[in-house]
Amino acid sequence: MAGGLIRVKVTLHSYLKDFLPEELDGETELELQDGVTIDNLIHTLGLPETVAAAVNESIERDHFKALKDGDHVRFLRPGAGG
Amino acid sequence: MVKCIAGSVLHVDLSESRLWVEHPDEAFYRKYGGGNSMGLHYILNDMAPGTDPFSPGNILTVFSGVPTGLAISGQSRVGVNARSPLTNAVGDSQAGGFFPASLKFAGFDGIVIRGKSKKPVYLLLSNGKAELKDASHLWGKLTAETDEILRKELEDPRIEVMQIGPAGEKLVRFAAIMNMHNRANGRTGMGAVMGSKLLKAIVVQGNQRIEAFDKPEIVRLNRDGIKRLDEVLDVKGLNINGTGDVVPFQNSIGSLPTRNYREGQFENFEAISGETVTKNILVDRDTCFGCVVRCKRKVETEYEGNKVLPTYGGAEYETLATFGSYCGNKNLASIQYANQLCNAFGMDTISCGATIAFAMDCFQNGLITREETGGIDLSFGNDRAIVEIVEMIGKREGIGNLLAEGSARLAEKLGGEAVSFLATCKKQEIPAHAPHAKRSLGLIFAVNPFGADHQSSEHDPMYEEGGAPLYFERLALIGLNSPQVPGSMDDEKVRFAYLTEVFYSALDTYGLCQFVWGPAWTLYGPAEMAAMLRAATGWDVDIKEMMEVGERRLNLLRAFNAREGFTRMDDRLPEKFFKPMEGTGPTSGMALDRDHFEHEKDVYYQLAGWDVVTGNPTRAKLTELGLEWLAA
Repeated sequence: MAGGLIRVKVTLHSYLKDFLPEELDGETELELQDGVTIDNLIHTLGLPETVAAAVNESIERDHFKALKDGDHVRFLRPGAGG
Repeated sequence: MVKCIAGSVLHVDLSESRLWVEHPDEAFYRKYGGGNSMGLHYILNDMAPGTDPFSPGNILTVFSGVPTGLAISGQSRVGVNARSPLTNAVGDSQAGGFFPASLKFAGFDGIVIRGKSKKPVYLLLSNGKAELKDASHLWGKLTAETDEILRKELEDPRIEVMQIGPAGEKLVRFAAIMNMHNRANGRTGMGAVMGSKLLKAIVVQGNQRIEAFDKPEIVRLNRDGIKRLDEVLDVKGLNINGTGDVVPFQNSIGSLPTRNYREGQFENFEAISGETVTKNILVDRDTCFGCVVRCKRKVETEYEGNKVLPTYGGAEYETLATFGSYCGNKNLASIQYANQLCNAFGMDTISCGATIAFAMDCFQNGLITREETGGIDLSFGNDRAIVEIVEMIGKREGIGNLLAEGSARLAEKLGGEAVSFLATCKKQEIPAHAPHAKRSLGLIFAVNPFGADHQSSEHDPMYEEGGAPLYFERLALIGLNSPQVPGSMDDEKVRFAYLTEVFYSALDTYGLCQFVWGPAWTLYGPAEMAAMLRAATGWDVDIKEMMEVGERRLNLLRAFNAREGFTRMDDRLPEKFFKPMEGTGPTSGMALDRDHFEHEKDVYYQLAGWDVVTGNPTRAKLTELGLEWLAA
């Protein structure tokens, strides 16, 4: 789909839910330009730059890697536990 | 004497029904920071080496910290120590709530409990006075029942009660000491030690004044914390969804133990997350004395016709994981009900859930049969079996009697390959953080004096590239200036593990909550902590002194173990962690390397100034810390 559009599911966890309209409850599907990266999404959604991101249920440290059609991106807060 | 200290330590000899009060000098409090280092001082001085954990000779200590009771967040903590019946090493456990501050208001900083009563008793502390009272009528009662009876009996709804439930009475080796019947000194079986002494409860009441040396500064720091609630994003997440907020992150890094640590990801993680709790069953956010973070949960739901009541709180992250993914269980209501049963019977949810997961693994591998379970199908994911077994453990009935010994002793009894399914360090069940993803935490699981613990050091992601600037600014204050590659483990990560362990050790003995005060992500960092301690006491405390106090506690804990014959050979990780993990995600196929792990231990002991061969404190280190009396 080079040069075309891709569909990406985005889930915002924890306090990050506030970055989407309340009625979406932290989850949306976006149609984006092919080649879009996690970093692009962070800026588009206005998220803090230090959020963690997982693609298809695995943490992705490289925020400049291009996403693929059908990817599920989760934005998360890193944490300890207790 | 500084005014934030009550200035009194209560000594109790249950065998002789004798009570006396000691007034230590101010230097003693400053040296140890109050808290459980003070308790360890008495244990190491007065308990004979080789004492059986269930014998009258075991000494149980209960201590608040120096700032406990002041009007600032995260100070109401109580530390408990004794020889652990679970690990046979030193026992140690911390809890919050209103009891810790109320202990001070009752006129005492701590309690040293010796001997064994001839009949069930409870200890009543009221405005500087103390007495032992008959508790025969409370023996066998669930924790909420005991709370209610005592409030009526003493005609005071404002009393605070620290108590054991039936599990402590029956010497379940991971029995907890509860307060508010939803806050637990959970780890290392301190409730069983209390039960062995026939001490049902400690009740505190009173209105003695605790004052800061510099009250305006405490007010300023507290206001600053309130303002920061929305800015410190990790704390905001904690407020919104409680500790269960981290379930999705844990899953994403492959650190969510699944089916007894066979795997690091759970396919149903969203069903057991803090967000799902918030959305469906949360009725209130609860707090400890004076704290604005409100990370505690109150939930209401129903499981198989059984009500889950808000009074018993709500499952923390560790509990969601141990009764959830650890057991392959996606039924949230059953997890909350298991949490309620643990709080009602007084049991550590981590050891209880993990022991059941271990039994499930043994069942699936034919080491435990249906005949032995009394017909219960102990397959992973069977929520009804989990709940049934929790109650059987609390009552020591049927197979519950075997599980009440903890998974390591159960493995010894089962024999064969059972030991290969264990997830324990020093016989204590490992919390819900896979060392494959959090490598330095794995080292701390192994070397921690009281067995695997997740609250004894900072977790790896805080010192990894890509982290928030706030983490790095604060960690630099304790000498950590080089964030590492995510998922890595090298000598710098060992430094991170050691130095943050020392910092956490200071938090524990000063009686400070690790979700409010800490070296990285919390509401307040190291600089604010030093400022608070200065304002509380008038002492010229700096970060260096705090670290010395933390190091002193760590050496006291380790010296206890050395006396009981523990060495670096006991600083082990389970065999299963050196074999590839199954399942999906970043930790799938990953195994720890044995030689590398031993190297990490070498570096750790060198940093601690301990003997690399034995792993124990040297005479020089103990002397440097003013603990020369331990080196004799």
